[in-house]
Amino acid sequence: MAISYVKKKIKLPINGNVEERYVAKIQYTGHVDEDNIAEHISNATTASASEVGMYIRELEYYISRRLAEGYIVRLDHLGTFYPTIHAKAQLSAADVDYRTITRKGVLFRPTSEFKEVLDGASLSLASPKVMKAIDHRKKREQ
Amino acid sequence: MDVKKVKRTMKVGPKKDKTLYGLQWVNYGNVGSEALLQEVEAATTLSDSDADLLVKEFARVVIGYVANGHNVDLGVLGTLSPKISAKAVDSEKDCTAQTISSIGVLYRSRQELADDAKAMSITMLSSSSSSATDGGDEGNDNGNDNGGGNNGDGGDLVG
Repeated sequence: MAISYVKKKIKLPINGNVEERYVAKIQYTGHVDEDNIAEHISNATTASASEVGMYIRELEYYISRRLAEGYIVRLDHLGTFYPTIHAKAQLSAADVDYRTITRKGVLFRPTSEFKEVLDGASLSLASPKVMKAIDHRKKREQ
Repeated sequence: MDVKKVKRTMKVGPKKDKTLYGLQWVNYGNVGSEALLQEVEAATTLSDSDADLLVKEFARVVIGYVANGHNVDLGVLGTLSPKISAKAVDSEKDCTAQTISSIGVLYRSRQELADDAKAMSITMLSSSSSSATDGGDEGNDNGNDNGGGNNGDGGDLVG
């Protein structure tokens, strides 16, 4: 298993000056979706790819519904999905109500098994070319 | 989703030693693989053993893809991607795999899930009516304004 990375030139503020540095950035191997996963899984079971795909979509919808109800959802070998809220702290209890909630979302925490696999993944340089930093401020102004 | 008020005394920062009040979501329990399995078995024609194998295979396949550098699209749940933490160095030749300090996984929820989250109705519980466990054993967001469910970070319940 290998994860590819590239070298990227960036600009960092250091002691009040903007200086150039180089940092390793991940380069994704590709993109897989439920159909790819379903096909892969159907090879290991007696179910067809379409049935596995239906199962995966049902699993995902069920998890998303439970999250919206405030449940933590734990997949034993993969990790845990949990709902989260961010709320602004107040000086008095009377000021705390739903309007102090600034954000709602979903977070994921991988299992230790998942983390171990990632720790064991090898790293390889994808390209000798150095990627240059993009000045997003200049792009916005244009 | 139900929430409750909690209070905590700040230990650091400009509001040190002040008692502040916030909201924390109420965790009514964890949904584990068994419950997921039963739900999905009911919705498909898979046998018990196939469904069980599917749960394990699903995790194995997703982990395998992420560890090989792929973005994995989990439909409405969002995407899982590998991520690396690397130190910035002065010269290009020093920029090697040795500068990578850790490899982790990045989760991004899908817009539909984020919209569902935003559309979650919030019900305020009073301390007397709360029969829930105090947060969960997951979910520690950063910052003093944290309202996430976290047992260790919980604070005292305010009625």
